[in-house]
Amino acid sequence: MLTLAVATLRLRWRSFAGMFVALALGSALVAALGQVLATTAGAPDRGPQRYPDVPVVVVGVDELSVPTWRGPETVPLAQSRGVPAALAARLPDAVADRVFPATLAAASDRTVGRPWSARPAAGQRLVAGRAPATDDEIVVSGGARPGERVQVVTAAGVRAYTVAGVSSPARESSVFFTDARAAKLSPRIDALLTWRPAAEVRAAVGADARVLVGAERSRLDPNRESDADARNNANTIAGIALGFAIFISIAVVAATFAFAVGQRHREIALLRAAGATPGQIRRMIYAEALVVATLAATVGSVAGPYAAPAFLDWLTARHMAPDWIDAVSDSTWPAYLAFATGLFVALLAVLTAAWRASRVRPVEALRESSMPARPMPLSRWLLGLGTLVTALVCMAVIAVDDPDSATNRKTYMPVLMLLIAAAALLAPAVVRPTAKLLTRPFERMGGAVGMLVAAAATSSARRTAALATPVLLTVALPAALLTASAMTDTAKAAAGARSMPADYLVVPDGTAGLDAELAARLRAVPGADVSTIVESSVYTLEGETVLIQRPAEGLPSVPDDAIVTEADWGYDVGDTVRLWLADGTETRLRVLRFLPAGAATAAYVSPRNAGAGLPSRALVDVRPGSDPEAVEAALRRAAAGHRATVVSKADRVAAAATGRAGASRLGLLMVLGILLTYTTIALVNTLVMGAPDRAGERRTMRLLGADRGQVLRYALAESLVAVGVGVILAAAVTGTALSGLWVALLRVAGPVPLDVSWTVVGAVVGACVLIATVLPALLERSSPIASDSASAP
Amino acid sequence: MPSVPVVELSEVTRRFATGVTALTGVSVAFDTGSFTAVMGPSGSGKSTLLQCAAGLDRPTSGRVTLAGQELTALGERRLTLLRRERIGFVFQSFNLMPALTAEQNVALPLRLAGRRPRRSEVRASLAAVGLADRAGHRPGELSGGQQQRVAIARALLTAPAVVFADEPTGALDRNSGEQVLRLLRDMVDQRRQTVVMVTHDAHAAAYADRVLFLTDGRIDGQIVAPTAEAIMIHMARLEAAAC
Repeated sequence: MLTLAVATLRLRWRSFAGMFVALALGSALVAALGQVLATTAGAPDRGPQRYPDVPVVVVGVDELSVPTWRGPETVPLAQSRGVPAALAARLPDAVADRVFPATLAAASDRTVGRPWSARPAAGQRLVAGRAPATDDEIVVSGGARPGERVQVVTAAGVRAYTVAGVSSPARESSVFFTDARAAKLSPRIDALLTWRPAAEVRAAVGADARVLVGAERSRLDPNRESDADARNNANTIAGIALGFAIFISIAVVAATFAFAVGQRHREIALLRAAGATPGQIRRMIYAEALVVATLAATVGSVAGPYAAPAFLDWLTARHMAPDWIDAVSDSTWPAYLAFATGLFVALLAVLTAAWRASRVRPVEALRESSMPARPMPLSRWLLGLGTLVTALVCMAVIAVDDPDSATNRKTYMPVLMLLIAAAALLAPAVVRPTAKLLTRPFERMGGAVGMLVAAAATSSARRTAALATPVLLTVALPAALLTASAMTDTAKAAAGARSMPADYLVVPDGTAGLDAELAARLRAVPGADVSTIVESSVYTLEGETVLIQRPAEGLPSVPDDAIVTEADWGYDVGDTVRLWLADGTETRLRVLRFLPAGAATAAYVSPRNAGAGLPSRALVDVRPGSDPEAVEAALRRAAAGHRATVVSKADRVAAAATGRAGASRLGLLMVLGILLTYTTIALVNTLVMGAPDRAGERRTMRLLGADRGQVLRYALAESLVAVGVGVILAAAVTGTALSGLWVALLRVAGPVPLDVSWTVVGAVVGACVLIATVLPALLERSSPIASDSASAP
Repeated sequence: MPSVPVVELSEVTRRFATGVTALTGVSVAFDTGSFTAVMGPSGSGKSTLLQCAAGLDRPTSGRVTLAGQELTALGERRLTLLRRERIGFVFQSFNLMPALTAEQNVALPLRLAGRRPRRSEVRASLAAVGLADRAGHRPGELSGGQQQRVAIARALLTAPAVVFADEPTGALDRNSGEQVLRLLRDMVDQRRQTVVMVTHDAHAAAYADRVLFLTDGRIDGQIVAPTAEAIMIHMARLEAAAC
């Protein structure tokens, strides 16, 4: 059977070309994305950023440890308590580093304040001027010259300082104060930097603080969380794209192979008549698939890793991948995995086609028709209807029961794709009426060609469907997914605006928070009700075993002994909750009330319980009876010079709606790109593989007297009708899907505008039309008018 | 020498799902070493008769016995094994696998059975039909008549119990058709091969030892040692009666 398989492949290589491309692409994608995953998951963390040159760093206790029956449960603390002063006394020659908020009012970069003696640890040298001599002098790393007098915003407020010198810039640029002024601005010692041997330091410190050496010093880097996020994002995006690549490869290869086997129907029947058992037929099909797959997978898994650097660069440019990784991993497992996946995909995809081929009855070698008669076998009906019902039920459940989840990409994307997949599966059933509808005007008006096209499109539903289905997918996928993404972004922004009904927000602009002086000035604005929000965390012990950190905000209206929790924490109003605050203090708070749905945090506590952080924003409501414009003007005056911005509700909605750089949207674009590549392959492949069938018809037409122009017009019109049917079906599916989403979003955010990206849709439809017309014209050019006997397929 | 029936149909009826009854209670036997032609107006069921006799189709009722085996009792796999060894086919068109050369096509049934026939034997079969020089050509490079002859070479090599031919000369010109019929006749005379041929061409049927006539799914007479004229007269009578 292998000889037979190879002989068939040699003769009919055009039929297998599409499968080859799909498999090679799939393997290449697996190899490239696998390489990206290997790089981002396996690369070591960045070296310590804050203290690269200090060998031993002592920090305060930064973990919360709670004894449970399973042993001590430990989690990192949200807010560190700092090094106790008594401990600092035990290490007299250690440098006390204090890191606190300090920015220049007139500049726009993010800086922190530090004492001058921490300068060597921060890796910054004096470039101009001199060290600060008095407490009113500072050294900056940019934005001013020595001798200038500048306004500096710290936690307490704004004060004027004289610039004594300029230091070299660093990743975490600092404003250096004298040690004394730094101690006054921020009494808490954040770290003790020492150059003594680690063992000696550990002996002196004991258990009151942590001693960090080597890679442990990274714990203090401010970028740790964003680094971890970047790594996670890259892993997630690569992983999702990988999954989709494999899935769509299977689908395209299965469809292509089924088509090819259908075309060889008669040949297979002849083999059966000559004495091939069903098992031998199946093995022959597997052999064909394996030969093609081996070649394709080899090509793909060798070429794929070369694309990995480009992928990584693309992700890094959008801040979705760790940017300190400069060398792509040289591990070889992605290539091997890609090869194995290629073979596995091919075999899986070919399963149904092989089974159906083995069921061909030998008597069909005597029949004239070249394709089995039924365009919609029972299995396709079942699968299509099942998918449709599942999608519709999911949409209904989301709309009725849980509309909030409609704004989450991970929820609605699969439902939309299920709906589109159902439409693709059921397409052959609706192709005939749609084609009839589309061609009715041409039947009368188009002359001979019009009549032929109308008849062909409606009678050979299978052929029209074979072309219309890839077009349906190519148009519906971007139209539905991109529009849905835009709709949910708008809805999320509007919902966010609804759940925070403050008229104005005051937010910091590049500083760690709003300073105390600013908060007082805001409160002094007449006609404004101001609440400042401090972001913090609380820890609860769930089920007596697990410590969970929950985001909490400090709200002035909450008393010191109370807490406002989410309803699903499991407590009733009035119950007492045992919890730990952000700095690890254990306390018990009374549940005051529950949070409303859609709140951005998990609990409200009093500002004192929220800890030492600066307010991250201020909510300002205009008191009834006051003039909103006057209040806004007063707010802006109060915020001037404090590195803060006043944002109105309208500004917020507009900003949120245009913020499109999220990891999930990038993942969506990548997946869309992969899907569209495959549907294009399917489209081109269907046209190429269907050409021999159409060649017979066109031969007949020319023998009957149609000239070359008429035959060409017929070919083009036939393709255009199929594309038109595909576009109509795509519009129907997209309309259904988006209406469902619109209904669900109605309850969350009110009516959301249907913002279809017509440019993208137009471009995609145009591309389909172009392929569907140019390709048959090219193929038509190359076929001769005379033909040999009917045995040359 | 007593003649032994190699294929026997007994009260075979074939009713299709569309309601059409192609054969009604047909009982006929084909003896070893005989050349039988089956004729009839179109729609008479002659192709269906051939398909049932060859095991390509299953009768609705009745029994078919071939080379001592009851075909109607066999499963698909055993039927396939039987087809490899004991049944040969020559169709009107599409006889050969387009991807294989002539000699690969000739050897195909034996290869499917897991045996490798010797190159010399394959060449000899091709030579017997006059195509030894075209052994390495694919069907796309052969004319219709040449393809039929390759199919006959395949039957020669396999030496089956019966060769079933369905309109073997239908698509051929007179000369090629004569060549094919000559070969079939030689197979019967020289190798005691049994041949059952369905045809509508009286001239082709004249090569046979016996001609069976079929009308509306029933046997309607036969002529032994036929001549072309006798056949044509009988056919004309049948067709007149059918109107």
